[in-house]
Amino acid sequence: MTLEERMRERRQRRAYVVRLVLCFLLGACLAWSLWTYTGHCSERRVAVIGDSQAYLLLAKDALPALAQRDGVELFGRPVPGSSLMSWSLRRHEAELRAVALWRPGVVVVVLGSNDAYQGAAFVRAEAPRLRGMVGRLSRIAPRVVWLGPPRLERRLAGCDAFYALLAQEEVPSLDSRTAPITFWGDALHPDVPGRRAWAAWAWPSILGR
Amino acid sequence: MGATEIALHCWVGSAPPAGTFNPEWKHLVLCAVEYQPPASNWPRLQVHHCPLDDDGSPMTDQERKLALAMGRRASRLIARREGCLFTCAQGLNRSSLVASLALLPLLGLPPRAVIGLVRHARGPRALRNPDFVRLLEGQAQNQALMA
Repeated sequence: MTLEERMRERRQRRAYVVRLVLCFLLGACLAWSLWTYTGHCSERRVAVIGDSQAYLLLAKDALPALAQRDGVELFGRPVPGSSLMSWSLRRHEAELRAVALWRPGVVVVVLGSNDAYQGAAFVRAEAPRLRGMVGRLSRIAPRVVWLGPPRLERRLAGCDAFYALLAQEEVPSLDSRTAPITFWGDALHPDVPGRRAWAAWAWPSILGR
Repeated sequence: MGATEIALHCWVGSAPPAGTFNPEWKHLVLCAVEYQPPASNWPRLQVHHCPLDDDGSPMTDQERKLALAMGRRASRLIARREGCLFTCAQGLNRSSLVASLALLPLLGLPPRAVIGLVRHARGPRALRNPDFVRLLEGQAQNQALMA
């Protein structure tokens, strides 16, 4: 074998090794992304956004206690006083970004009480906002669950209109009007036993059981 | 020192020894007039001073203003998810008052509900100073109902 032939053979062998290493690295990268994606987007990663109802549901004895019991990771970004309107007008982008970065498998949206307080006509005009909001959330998590407002005795028309809107837009939702919630004197916020009962009522559906 | 989370990012506890720290806290509010050590005792926390008395005498105007101003500031901190630990001698009255003043505008809860939250977390002896309860109830006058 001439020197030239030997050199060519060596070059071919080196190219083969380089190709092999590149293929291995590509495969490893693909496997890693697949593993992290399925791991991070699992149903066992639940993010909660919403208004002060969400804030109260995130008290240690409510949703976090159930999540801990079932080995579910929970991430909360509530904004007290917020509404479907304020979220859809992108006033809480930092919160949404944080949720997206956390890569949840389920996003629970606890909104509607403040919109219901604006009245039925206001709620009926919110269809495009709701559509936009659900669209954005669907890009963040594979499953979106809307935990609607409880039975708001002082704003029944607004509350019913909100549920009608959720049904009209076919948003997967839980009708909290039927949940066994007790309230503080304001007939709006759940008290301590009320928040526990609400969380326990919603939890199996949040997990898709 | 026993500290309890009465609401998300809002803790109440008794007088904290120097160096007390919990990764969930960013701010420490010292509400007891008799316990106002320098901020250097808690190098990992941002310390706020809100010296209030709880000797049974009525609150002075100065104390009322101080508590309201601290409550407003703490409300903004809690809204930014910066954990606040409110402390006084036992973690029952003065710290609970300032924590409640912070939660009132944040949650839109009625004063009785905030008092209920505090008593649920700190026990039935919390927030028993009638002057403090009056101050809390006075704050709800212009508050709109919201969730």
